[in-house]
Amino acid sequence: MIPALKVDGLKISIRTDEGIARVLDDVSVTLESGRIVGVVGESGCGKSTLIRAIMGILPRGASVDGGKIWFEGENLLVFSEKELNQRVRASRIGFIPQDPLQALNPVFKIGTQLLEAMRWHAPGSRRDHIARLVMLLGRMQVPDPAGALERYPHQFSGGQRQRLLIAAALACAPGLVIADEPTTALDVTTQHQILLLLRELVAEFGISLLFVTHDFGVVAELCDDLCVIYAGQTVEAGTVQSILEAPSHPYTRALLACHPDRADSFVGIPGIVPSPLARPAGCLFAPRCGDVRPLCREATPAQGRARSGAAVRCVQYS
Amino acid sequence: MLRFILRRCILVLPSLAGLLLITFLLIHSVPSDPAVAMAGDAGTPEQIARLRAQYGLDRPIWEQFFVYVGKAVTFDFGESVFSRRPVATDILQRLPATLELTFASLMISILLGVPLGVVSALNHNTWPDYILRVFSVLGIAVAAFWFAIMLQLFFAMDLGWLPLRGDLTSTMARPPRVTGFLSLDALLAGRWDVYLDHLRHLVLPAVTLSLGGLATIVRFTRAGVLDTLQQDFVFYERAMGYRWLRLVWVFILRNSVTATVTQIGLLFGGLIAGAVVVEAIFDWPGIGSYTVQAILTGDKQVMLAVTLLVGTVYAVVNILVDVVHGLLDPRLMEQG
Amino acid sequence: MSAILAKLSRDVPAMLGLVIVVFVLILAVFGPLIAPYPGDASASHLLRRLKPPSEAYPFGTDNLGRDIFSRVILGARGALTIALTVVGVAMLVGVPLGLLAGYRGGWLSEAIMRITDVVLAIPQLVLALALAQLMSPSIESAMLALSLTYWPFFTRIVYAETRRLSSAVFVDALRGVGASTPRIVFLHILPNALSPVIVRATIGLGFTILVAAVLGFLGMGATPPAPDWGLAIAESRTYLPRAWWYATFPGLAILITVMGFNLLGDGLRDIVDPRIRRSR
Repeated sequence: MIPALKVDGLKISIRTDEGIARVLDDVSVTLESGRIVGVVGESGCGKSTLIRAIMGILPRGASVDGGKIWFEGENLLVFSEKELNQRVRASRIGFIPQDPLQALNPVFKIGTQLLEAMRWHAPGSRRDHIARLVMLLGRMQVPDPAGALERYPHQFSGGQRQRLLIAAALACAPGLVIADEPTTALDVTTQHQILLLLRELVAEFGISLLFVTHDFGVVAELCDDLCVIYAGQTVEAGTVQSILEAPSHPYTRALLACHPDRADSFVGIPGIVPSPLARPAGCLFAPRCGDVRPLCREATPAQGRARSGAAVRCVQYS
Repeated sequence: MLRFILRRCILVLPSLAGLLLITFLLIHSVPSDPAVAMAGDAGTPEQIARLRAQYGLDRPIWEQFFVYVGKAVTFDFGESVFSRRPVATDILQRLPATLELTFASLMISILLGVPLGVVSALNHNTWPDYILRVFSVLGIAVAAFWFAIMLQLFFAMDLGWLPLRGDLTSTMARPPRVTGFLSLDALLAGRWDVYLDHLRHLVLPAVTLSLGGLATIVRFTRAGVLDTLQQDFVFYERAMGYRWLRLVWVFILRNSVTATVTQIGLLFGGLIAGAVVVEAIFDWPGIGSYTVQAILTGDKQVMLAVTLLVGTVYAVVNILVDVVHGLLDPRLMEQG
Repeated sequence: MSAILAKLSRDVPAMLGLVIVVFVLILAVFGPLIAPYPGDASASHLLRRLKPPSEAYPFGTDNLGRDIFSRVILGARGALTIALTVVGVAMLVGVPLGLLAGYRGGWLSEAIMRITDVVLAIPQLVLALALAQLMSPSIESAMLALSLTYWPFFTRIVYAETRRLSSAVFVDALRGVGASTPRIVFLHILPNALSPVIVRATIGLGFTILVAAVLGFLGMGATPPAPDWGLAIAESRTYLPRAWWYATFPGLAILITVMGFNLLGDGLRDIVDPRIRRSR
């Protein structure tokens, strides 16, 4: 069975005034059909560029230097803007944004905004679209689904808005949904409810979910598989269970160690993510690694396999 | 909605009161005695005294102010020295022509300026953007009276494509005055020849007058669209597969024109000021050419009335701008 | 200062503006030395009236046979004098009022800002015309009228900046250590509020030249035989379309000068405040 989405060795750089920023440098993510993969990393490590690359909406000055994005047997990177818009976005790949208030157009009614996408990407008439939206909003436990369509974004609470946008992502019945830290802006209780909802929807609507986050707690609660990204590189990938039980890459271990659920005291990883403009030679994590060896600073480590079964980019395993 | 408009109207009242006060002080800060001026060189002391009493100039200053306010709100601005008719009558007679001209030029500014601003923003820092930016600076820097003369020189005198001045060919019979707007009156009378001839006369003055507004609207639309393009919802709407043209011209544009609408309100002042010059050059029979006549003949009552009128129009336009803002952005309407 | 110049030098339109402004300044100062016929400021040569542009008279001659090229050069001084005076006076009135209204608050602030609003509500040209009309038409009353209508722009800017700054942490700290009000206002708030004022003044110089030209054109400003650009265009109207050069070149002089100030002002504003605001 082919995966729902397979990002393979993706490399993207962006030309800026200060030079060329290598934002993604060999990122690979595999999402098996019907599963949930969590993509985890600190901010600034390339998560949002990855999402933008899959949607085909890269910022100005960005260029794809290598890799492939396999989706339902086709490489999305060879699609033209027009093809992506007509055949992929909304209709086959749904998107749940990070901050629902920022993501909604403040001066249009919810109904207008959601129906605009369905108008081009969902079969049936406008009446069918409204019926489907009302059904979805009801399923998302939005009170008064029909009335909600007539209201403006600022008239909903944060949790309600996120439910609206989950409904929007499913509106055109896509097979793949990409979620960009959709629970970050919410309080813990609401966050938990949304995660439960997403978990149910995956089975119920037969979708595969790519879930981007910086929070291991969320990953543990929601995901089947896990992909850890550091400075534009995949450093560890495997099932959630195997990695959480036995994290192999020093970065994964460091991230887990400073998660509030596990840490004894409030500690972060010392140092910062290297700038995509000036990257160190050798392993990118070496400057911050607690277990660094001389070899680390010389050669870029190749992908190896840990005992847990996870793919790891670290000299200890290659 | 109604409450929203009422609130705006009430907020404008202090400004209008201030306008009355300032114009009143202006007149009274002039050392020359208006009664002496009115009586003329041959005026006897008795005549001057009578005029003083007639205009209430012998009363205390605060009483004069109230008389002045009373007259202003009943549109009693006295008589024009030049036309020997009540100023209010003259203004009413000439207002439609000015409204026609300002409306036409505003339409040109908006219908050209908004799309050009959007194109400029979408092509940010490429050659179409550079060209449009240079033109928008030129549009603000050009002296309207000079541009008008250049247009006359080229299109009227040299090529002979368009009429030089006036609002209608002098040999044409005017339709009966119903609304005062010549274009409407011509249509009401079924006079297509008059209508078209009038439009031909309207082209050069309207284009001249539209220039400054066009440049400003291009600028602010461009800035607004550039601002909106940075917003998260543009990415979301693209990710939702919105059609590009609809995304730009419906969903982005409506978020971007707030500043432009404000500018259109502010432009109105400039338009009326511009109309003074443009009407004088093209002999357009509106308030502007009336004002220039008043300047040349030293007709202070007319100047006063025009200043008050312009200030009031400006206040009313700003209420309209607020209402349009409310319609564009539902969040504003709820704040009241 | 050098940092501003360095940034400015990367902005091609702003540099163009700077070059134009410097050029016009040179013309204004050394005009009589540069102009081929400096005497044509007032002389008349009826034998060579309304000659088209030629080698001897690059911009042609006017109705009194005066060299238009010389008069355009000589006109720079008048235009700049008016602009600098008007903007200078407007700043002298507007900036202190803005500081006062912004730092004090209360009814005084309210009154000042109301008056500012009302004056801003009347188009500058109309108000200036009304004022110039109340006084007797002359270049001085034109300047006075323009100054009296331009100060609110400065008041509004300084008011906004002062309000912003007087709630800033460093001003609170100054109050805490017992700095006197004049000291805070003039040594700490004013310098910080100065950059938007300079931007507005630069654009205002161009705008004033434009409005002054309109006043001259309407006969409310410069009086003959002054080599005023606006006046020249007014005088030329009688001789159109025959003497096209008579109206064209003084108008181009206005256009280029005003454009220079606007480009420079826009460039300065981009440095001071990267978000685009309005200019007039």
